[in-house]
Amino acid sequence: MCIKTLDNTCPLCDAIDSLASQSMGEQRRAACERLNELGWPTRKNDAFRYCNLKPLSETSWHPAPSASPDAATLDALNIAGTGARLVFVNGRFDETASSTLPDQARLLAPMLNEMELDRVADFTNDPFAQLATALVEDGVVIEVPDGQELSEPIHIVHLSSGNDDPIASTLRIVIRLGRNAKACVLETWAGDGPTLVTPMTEVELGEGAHCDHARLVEHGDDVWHMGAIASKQAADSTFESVVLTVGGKTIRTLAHSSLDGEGAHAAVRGFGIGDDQRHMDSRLHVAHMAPNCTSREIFKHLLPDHSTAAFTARIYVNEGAHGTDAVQTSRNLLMSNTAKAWSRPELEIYADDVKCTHGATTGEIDPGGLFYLRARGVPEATARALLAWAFAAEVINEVPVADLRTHLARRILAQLPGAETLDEGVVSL
Amino acid sequence: METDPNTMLDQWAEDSEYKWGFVTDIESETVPPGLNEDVIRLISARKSEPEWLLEWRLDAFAKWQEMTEPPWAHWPDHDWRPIDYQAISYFSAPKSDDDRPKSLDEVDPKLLETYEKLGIPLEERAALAGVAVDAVFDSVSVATTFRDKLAEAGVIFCSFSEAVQEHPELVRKYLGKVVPRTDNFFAALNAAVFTDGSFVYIPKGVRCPMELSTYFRINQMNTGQFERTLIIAEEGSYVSYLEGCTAPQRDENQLHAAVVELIAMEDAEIKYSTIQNWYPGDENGVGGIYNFVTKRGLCQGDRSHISWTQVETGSAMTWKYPSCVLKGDDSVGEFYSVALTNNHQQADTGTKMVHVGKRTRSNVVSKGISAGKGHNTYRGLVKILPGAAEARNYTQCDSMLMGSACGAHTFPVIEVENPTAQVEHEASTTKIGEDQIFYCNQRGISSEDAVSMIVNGFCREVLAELPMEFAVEARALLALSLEDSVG
Repeated sequence: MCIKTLDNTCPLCDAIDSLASQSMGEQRRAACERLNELGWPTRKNDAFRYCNLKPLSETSWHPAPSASPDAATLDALNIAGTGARLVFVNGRFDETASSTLPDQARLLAPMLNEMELDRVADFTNDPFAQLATALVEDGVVIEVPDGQELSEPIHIVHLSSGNDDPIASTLRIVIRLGRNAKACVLETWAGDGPTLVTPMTEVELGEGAHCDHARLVEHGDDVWHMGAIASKQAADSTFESVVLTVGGKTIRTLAHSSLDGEGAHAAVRGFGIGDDQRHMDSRLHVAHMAPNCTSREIFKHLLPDHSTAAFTARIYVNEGAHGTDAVQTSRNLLMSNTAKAWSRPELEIYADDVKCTHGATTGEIDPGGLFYLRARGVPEATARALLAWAFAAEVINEVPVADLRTHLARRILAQLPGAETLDEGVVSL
Repeated sequence: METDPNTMLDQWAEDSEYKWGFVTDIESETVPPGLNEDVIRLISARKSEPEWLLEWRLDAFAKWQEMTEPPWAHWPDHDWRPIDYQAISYFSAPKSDDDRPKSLDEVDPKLLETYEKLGIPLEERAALAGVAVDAVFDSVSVATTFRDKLAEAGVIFCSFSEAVQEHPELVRKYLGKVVPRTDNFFAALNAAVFTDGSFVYIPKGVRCPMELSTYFRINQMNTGQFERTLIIAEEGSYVSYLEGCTAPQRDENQLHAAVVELIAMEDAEIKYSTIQNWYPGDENGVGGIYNFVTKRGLCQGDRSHISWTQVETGSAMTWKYPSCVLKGDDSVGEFYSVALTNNHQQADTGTKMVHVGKRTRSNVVSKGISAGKGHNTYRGLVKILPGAAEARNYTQCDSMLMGSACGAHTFPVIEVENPTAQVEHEASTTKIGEDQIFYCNQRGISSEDAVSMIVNGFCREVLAELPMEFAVEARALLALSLEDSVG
């Protein structure tokens, strides 16, 4: 475990100690203590059964230094069609690169002592969620009052940028929507070099509120992205969330969604494309606590090279949550002999008037489809890319902002073998 | 080595611990409750087992002592009554080996009466259906029919203890090959203390002329049943084996930790069907049997085929995962299951399909029905190893819920390490619609019959896999188990 070395020389611990002297003292210390109890998880821990964290646990992590963003990098991450862009570097706000904060958004840093964090889901057993609390320095709090609407999507960009030392940083995004309020929030996570980031997004929706949320992971090959998304919904509210992975070394997404009010709807979607040794690990928990709620989970992975994907999801239907309608889907396309996929779509149901279905499929590109295209003169490489793209499109089409879809398509096609031969028009969104 | 069982028993009796006396209602001998090396030595001695088997048992026992009992049941209102392994009596024999009945006529009439009460007339069945019944009453086989006919075909079908005496080379070669003696907590316990079971050997190219059948009974107070079944199908052979379980109504929790091992060589096929109807406990969840069974088949040869079919309606708690290791190329594994839980019953069942060989195929169909306060869990693994090119799996698990206090859970694990494999998993959860019952009522069908009809339709794919007589029994059992569940 990094965190307390025997000789008390862990730089990360020192950083947490010094942060605790400034704000959230008790909470940070509690999180740090819990983290020490848990230690870095091993494969023996069921939650990380498919995730090799050995290199992470053997690294001596340092607190991320202050840094300035590189303009060219930021440009590449830009998504047109969004409103305010808020840029954070190594967990700290960068005013010069950011636009003005919209009325409904505030920075977390000055409010750290007043804000009640970690109240949406119980992540006591997750070391990375504890680290996210222990290390938090800044973030965005989006609070939309009853009946109001964010006019444009807010785009939050987090960039990791360091020296040669492996660095750890985090960012907290808190979204609280009042009755019938509406918001769209996009996150981009990027940066190179040996980095551990622990993104944490907490969402609370009032009655009839609607929140669209997308998290785009565009890290370099050395980055451990151990993120979490927690949501809690009142009656008739809607939460549409999507996690899109086109970069990083290991990308873990822990999503905990609680449907507390009658008629609430949650959709948790995910798409990831593998590369080299990339591992994508999704762990979802959707709790139907009230009657007549609906939930949709769909995760798709394209897996070339040595890439791997694990999907563990549970739909929990509480006693009395009648009229539940839940669908859970995991689909993996294996594109090489060395790619691997693990799926665990789980249902735990304590009510009888429910409709729960789940499906999981894993396989290679359908030879029938390939033959059909080749018979029509499409070269094999193009046909493969086309079919892989079609596989991805089901999730991509649900991404909330058109420009994000285009941005994403470009990223995916850049990584998809044979995609350079695809006609632009084929993939227009 | 202590060879004379009687001397040992006497010694045992003289020890002050022995104060329970024999339970002799139906002339059975039962060793006093408790588990230690001496008990294992006693069991082994009573069965005149060879030295290697005793060593095998003792080794399993040593490993078992280091293992911890699995804390699996996950539901919140779970009412686990701990198993006191020292309160179980590990050996009981209906009669001493010398005067065992040679034919059905010699079987204790009381025993036959029990069969009658359960509606399974032994001789009738045997004659009518051409079924050879190796009836297991408690732990020792007491009746075997159709031995000659089977012997003619070269099939060996006998009790495990007979096999140890008469075919020690076969037993030694295959025992523990599929389920190692330290596989899991209950398998290790079974390996240490198993008393009897069935042994089947089908020689090369033989199609077993009849369906083989064993009825298990738990009758003695506090006797855990530790059956061990070993079926070996040589190249190109075929066998269908039926295992039916019923238990008289009783109030005490009993443990049933059986082990079943199947081995199919090249082009061989084994079909294993089970109806499990152990005592489920009363409507308040008092009593009932803990049924913790390890069943596994090895498709050793190319193009071999193992098929598990089970109808689980009994037991207070069932943990059972009949599995297939598909080692031979083009081998096939199948699992068809209906599990029904009512009142306070809990069934945690499923399968493991491990694809090792090329073009191996597996098919899993699981139907869970929960009523009352019952909980039903499908827990399964489909594993495609890197060498299993073009492997294929299809899994379907459907749950049906009746009443608002029951639960249905699905925990599948799918691990794919070869891109040419096709793996599909589908599951759904539904309830019996009031409109469906109303529709039937309108047409003069009572609610009870309507439920039975809908459930039978729901389970059709599985029941179709059962041999005909078994299917009839299964349908009746499902209807019986669901009595009063819809009101």
